[in-house]
Amino acid sequence: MNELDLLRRLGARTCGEVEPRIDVAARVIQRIARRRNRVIDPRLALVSVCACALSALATAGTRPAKPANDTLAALSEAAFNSTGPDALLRVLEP
Amino acid sequence: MSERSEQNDLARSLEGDGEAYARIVASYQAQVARRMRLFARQPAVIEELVQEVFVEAYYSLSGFRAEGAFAAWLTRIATRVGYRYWKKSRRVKEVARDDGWWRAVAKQDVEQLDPASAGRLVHDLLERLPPRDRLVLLLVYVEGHSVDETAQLAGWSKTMVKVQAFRARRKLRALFAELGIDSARAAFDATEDVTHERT
Repeated sequence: MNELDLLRRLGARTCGEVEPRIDVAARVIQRIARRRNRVIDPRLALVSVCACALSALATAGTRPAKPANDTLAALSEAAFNSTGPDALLRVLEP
Repeated sequence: MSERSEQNDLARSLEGDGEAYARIVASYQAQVARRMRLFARQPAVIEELVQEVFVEAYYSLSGFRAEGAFAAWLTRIATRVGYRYWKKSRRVKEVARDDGWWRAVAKQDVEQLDPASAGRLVHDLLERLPPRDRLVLLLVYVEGHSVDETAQLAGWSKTMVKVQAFRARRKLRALFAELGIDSARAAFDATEDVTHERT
């Protein structure tokens, strides 16, 4: 008898094994219900994506336009000019 | 369950009727459990696997064609769930040369084994091989499926089944040699022959 014959004969013997007694119907239904609750409704997901896109568009539309020369150097120069000696003379001018 | 009421329950299950699906589960759970026992021997694991089969079947119901047999479709799912369990558990038993269990088997006549012992034996033997080899040996030799049927059950191509069966046979032979079963069986067969000659 070779190894495959042994497997075949063992397989044939297992046919007579007593059927396992189980009752999983209720638990299967519970598991399906649990899994269903966890799954995000695709329609809800689509609505969320649309809402995000609209919100991004609205933010971009209302954002104030920056001046082209709005750099740190330009700001610093403007501040100096407003408080520098020239500004003081302009104030003191009769 | 009659075929018509089964079809009706399947259609209602698809619409989300839990009671209809519970009836389907109740009528097939023993059959699925018997199949899962080929993949695991512990009752708790079998029960878990049976649940997994029915949950997976529920979510694949829309793919089931009504003209096919539901039992055969369920068997395919069960086989794949079992195979996945094997792959996940990755338990390949170390071969122990002094395995008393195997030596005892080698000295016994398979026909004298009770079905439960035969089942344990098949499981114990297959557990020593990698999952892919286990599956092909289980389907082709233990259950006696053809190459076509094995390919369908495992979701493999026919070529893959043939190649895999060839490799698995070689590994099984090597395993038997390591376990010392060949020589022990030969000794047993020789004794048997002598006994038959005498009688």
